[in-house]
Amino acid sequence: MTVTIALPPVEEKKLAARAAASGQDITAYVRRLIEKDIEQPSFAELFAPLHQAVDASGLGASEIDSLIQQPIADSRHQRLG
Amino acid sequence: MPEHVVFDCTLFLQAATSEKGPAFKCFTMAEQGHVTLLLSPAILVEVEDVLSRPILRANFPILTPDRVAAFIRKFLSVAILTPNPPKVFTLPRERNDEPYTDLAIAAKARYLVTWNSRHLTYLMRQDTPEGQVFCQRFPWLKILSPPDFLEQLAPIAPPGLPRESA
Repeated sequence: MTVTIALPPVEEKKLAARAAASGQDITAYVRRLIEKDIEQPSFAELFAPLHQAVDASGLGASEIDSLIQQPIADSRHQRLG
Repeated sequence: MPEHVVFDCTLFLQAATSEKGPAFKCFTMAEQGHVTLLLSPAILVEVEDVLSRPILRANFPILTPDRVAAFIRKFLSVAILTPNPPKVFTLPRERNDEPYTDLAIAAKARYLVTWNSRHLTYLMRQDTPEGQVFCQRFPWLKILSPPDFLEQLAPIAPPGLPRESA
């Protein structure tokens, strides 16, 4: 797959500077950026196990809300007084 | 250029616990580059501490330290981390929310997104002295609930991120 991207001069200059600073040509640098991005899980993928655990818990919306608010209150009470 | 936004702590937890609500959609907007999330060390500390609380782990053992660390890395990957901002505005009803307002103000965020109407979004009504002062001093900053925020962004929201009611 080949992708062509049109960049404004300002972005091109910055990109070239970043690539040079990393010791790579622009193509290799951009490729590394893309690899880094697509290797990382999305929020949906990352949160999925917890989403499923919450769904499976059978807790209602108000119980979930309490489970969220209580630790925030506890954390603030403990850290901030 | 994407608008800069600050999400309050509740949204981080809601997004992590359900993909059905507006909080998850807010983070998806950040992930897809439609807005730029702002974080400060103080906010990260709070989010990590809350996600690590025993009450959450007791209910959801899957929320291990490694998983919390992965969540934090992911939040950072879609955000701009800025130094803790100076205190610029005192919230008379809840000073613990000041790291969020201070960051939004210091970083010139367009939106602060929160469910907290008693302590934060009420400022937008300008029916209190502090609300009037806030809106006069920081007219660019809108404090909105997640559904209102998504409504504002509806024109640029991709398919699959429909408008959300509370």
